[in-house]
Amino acid sequence: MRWAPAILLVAVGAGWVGQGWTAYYRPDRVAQAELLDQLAGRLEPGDELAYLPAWELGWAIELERRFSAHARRLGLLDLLRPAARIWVISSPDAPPVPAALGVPQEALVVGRIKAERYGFGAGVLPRVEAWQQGRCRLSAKRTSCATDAGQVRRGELVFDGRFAQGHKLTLKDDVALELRWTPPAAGQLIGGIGHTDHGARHGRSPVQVTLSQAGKELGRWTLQPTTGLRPVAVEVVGGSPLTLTFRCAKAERNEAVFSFGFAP
Amino acid sequence: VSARRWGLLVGAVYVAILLATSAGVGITRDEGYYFHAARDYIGWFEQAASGEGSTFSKPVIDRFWSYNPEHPVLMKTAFALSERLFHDTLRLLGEVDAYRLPGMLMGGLCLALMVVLGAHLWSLPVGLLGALLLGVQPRFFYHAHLACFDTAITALWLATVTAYVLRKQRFGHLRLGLVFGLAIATKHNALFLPIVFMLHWMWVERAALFVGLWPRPGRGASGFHLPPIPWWVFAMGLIGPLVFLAHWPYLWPDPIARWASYWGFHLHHEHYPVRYFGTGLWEPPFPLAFPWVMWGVTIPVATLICALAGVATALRQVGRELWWGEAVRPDASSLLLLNLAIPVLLIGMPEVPIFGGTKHWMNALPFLTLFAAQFAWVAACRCSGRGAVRLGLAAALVLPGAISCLRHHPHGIGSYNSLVGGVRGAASAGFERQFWGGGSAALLALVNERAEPRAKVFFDRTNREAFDTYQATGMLRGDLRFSPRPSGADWAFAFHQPDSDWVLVDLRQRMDLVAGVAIEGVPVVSLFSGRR
Repeated sequence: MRWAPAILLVAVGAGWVGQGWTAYYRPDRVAQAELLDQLAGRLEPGDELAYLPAWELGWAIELERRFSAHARRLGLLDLLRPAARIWVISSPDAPPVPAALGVPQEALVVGRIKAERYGFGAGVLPRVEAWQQGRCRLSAKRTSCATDAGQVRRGELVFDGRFAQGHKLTLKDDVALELRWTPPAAGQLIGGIGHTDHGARHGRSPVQVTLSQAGKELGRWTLQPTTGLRPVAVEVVGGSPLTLTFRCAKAERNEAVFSFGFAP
Repeated sequence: VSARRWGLLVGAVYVAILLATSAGVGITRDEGYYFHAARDYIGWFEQAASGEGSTFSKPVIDRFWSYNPEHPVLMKTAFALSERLFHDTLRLLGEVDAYRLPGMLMGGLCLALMVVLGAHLWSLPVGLLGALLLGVQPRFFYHAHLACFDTAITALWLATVTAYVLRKQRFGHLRLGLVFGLAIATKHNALFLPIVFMLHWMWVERAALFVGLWPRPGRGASGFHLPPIPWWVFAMGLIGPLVFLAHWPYLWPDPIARWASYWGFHLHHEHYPVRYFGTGLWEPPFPLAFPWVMWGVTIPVATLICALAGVATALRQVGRELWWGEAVRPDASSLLLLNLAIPVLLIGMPEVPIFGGTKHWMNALPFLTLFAAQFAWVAACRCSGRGAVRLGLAAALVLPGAISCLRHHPHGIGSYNSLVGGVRGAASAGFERQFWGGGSAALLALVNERAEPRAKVFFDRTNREAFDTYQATGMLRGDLRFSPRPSGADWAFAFHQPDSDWVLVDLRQRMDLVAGVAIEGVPVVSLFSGRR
């Protein structure tokens, strides 16, 4: 008990420091409003928007209210894909922006919050959507295809409270599901592959993924059934179809997913 | 002033605070069921009072008591009688507050018992400090508002332990048996109390129990010796079940089969998902450390540090007692340690359901808090001989918790401490924010104002029973319709919890986000409207 007074003082100090520390990160509504006013003057048609941490409700509501015409990314996993122009709003306790977005080209700072503009410029496809399964091709209207090898669906992917736009697969035991897409030019296929939380819970065996082009294997991955997206960036050539193949020995309810964009 | 009077004062003030702050606390899923049960059960008393028909016949009992047979009815009956008295008859409280009053009284009882037990074991300041440290824990504060069983079983578990400690008083064993009966009439957790007391008895009687296992020359003893069976075994074993049987008319027509059905429900309870470090835990085996970690990130840090120091001190005492035969306080440390550990270890078993945040082992919280208070007060006394300094230190220890209660109210169900970075840090670390459907209450006014006549509303985790109560109490417009599915709804809530991720995804595709409820920016529930 010799140390008791010191421990008590540490406890009291920790209690108050903790209050101050957590209070520091509370949303600053005035700064938020000012930042959005400034952002309104800088936004260009087609700019995407994102905010971090991705769960921050105030941004979700305000962006929907003020900038509903601009597409929104759903968080860190959704920022693995490249962008032509994207503004990422960050609270002081936000995680770092994924390296896939490159370096910020412009920044607005109000108080403890900031909005940074990233992007690779024209020619970027934020979402590669037109994957073809057999004779079925996904499009803006067509969101799913199914063959004897399984099914592919486009939409929001769920990773235990984290979200991303992408494609979800329903595989069959030891049957390869092949998807094809032709890059318009030489560049990089950038994004992620992985499992939804549902797929990770129910999957028991790994999914083998290969990416090839013109008979050359560009990448091979083994996805253990764990939740999330593994970042992927692969150099591809233009005009030649890419083939993305998924195979799982025991598919069960193993929801493999991918989320890709293209940067020339 | 005696500890009992101080306890009464502290408890009464706490109940007043709970009543004054209950308005924003939304109706939880279980409260919806218990309100329904209360409305059913009160009918039986009305029939008994009217003298019409056979009140004790099986058809009549089944008619009034068959709803929600998975829980005993002490608290539900108290909710019913409170509503009838304080709302219907006296018009002193609103309907929801009247239902909730017995739960709040249990919160007050908890604090009062902390004062009494702390004063008995150590000193009045320890009891008072323990009561305050418990009362300002945001999750306890939240649950103490509700017409549910978790605060009640915490109070009655503590009451049974207090009665056990004071059992040598006049009629002490009779009181112990009665209080234990009330505890098992509140929630099934109490059935583990005899195990706690048995382990404590084995600890206290270890010399007599195991004397033969370590024979010494001249002692003559060998083998296992059973000391006299203590009186509390008979008191709890006989009076407890009688109280339990007497309080629950549903059991009377077929006591064994219906008790077995009740117990079977809890032995095979379904699992609900919990988000823990970013992963949804849906099915066992669950992590052994789950309840300890959850305590670590939800109890106010100052209390937690003192509790750890207090527990370490108690373990050291117990160790010295075992090793050196020193008996500083033969009963207190070991009894409190057992009451702290057993409920947590039970929840920590890999197959036991872990849903419900921290409420399912809240009955261990008073004991952890008592250790914190005992340590803190001794430390404060060592810091200074001046009463003002000691009081200042005690206040500095209590206030951060109180501030957290203020900051997170009425969503204390999702409160986290600064070890994990508060509620925002917990959201980033992937912890659960709520699970009980109460979060929608704050948005009812908006729906009332903006929804079209007879609009259909999807309430997600807020259940039909809560919806009905909101309408019956005027909190929600009577013309609005309950939609069991998001498809077809004009307005829709989405709770931010593992089993509602799909709702959020679905609604984002089809409707506009119009509002939300958040704790310091962390969403609890989102509200969508309009069909695209």
